[in-house]
Amino acid sequence: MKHFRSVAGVVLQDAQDTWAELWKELQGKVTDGVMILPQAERGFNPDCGWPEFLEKMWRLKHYLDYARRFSTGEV
Amino acid sequence: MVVRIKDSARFPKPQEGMARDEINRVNARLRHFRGVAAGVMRDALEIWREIWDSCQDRRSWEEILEGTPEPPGFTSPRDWAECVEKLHLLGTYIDYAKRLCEGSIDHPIHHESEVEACPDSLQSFQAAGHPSITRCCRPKKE
Repeated sequence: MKHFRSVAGVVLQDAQDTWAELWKELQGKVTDGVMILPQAERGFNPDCGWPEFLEKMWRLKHYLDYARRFSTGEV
Repeated sequence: MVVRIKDSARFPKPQEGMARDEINRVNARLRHFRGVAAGVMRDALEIWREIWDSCQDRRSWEEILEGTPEPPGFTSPRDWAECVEKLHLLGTYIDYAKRLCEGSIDHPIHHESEVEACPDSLQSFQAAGHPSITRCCRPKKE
């Protein structure tokens, strides 16, 4: 049980860090806290560039998928 | 009364029974815990897929090769609001699953004391026709 919680906790911490990076990209350009900014209408270009942004999204997916498979015992 | 070895194997000692109960209890708890975590992860992945789909180019590969100009993507504030809301929801799922694993599920993410009022945002919300929003849940900066 302790082992399971530790592994899942570490994977989810990585997922949370990646999510925070993605969220940070939107701050000031698309949203400010909870509000959608007017300049969002003009489009959005992440500072890190679209390839890296999408790579982070993909990495996030892998963390979530691993955590799900780990939870269901499919790993 | 004399207890023979044969009998002691057939009738387990009370301590052994208790140990087995404990093992069964821990196993059941682990099963339940894994089930909850898997459910949260399934929801999180579904939300992720929706966000991923909304990031996809709407043109076909032929149109991309032909150089057809990209149609406006996230241009309306409604689209953005939905996307940001989904991303926020995804963050909530991840945070919940993480706290579930850490065993700190009863601890709220932000306590009231950690929330600062931002009157500018509130005024903007109310001017935009959302008078019901009375406070902003932006956590205090470190």
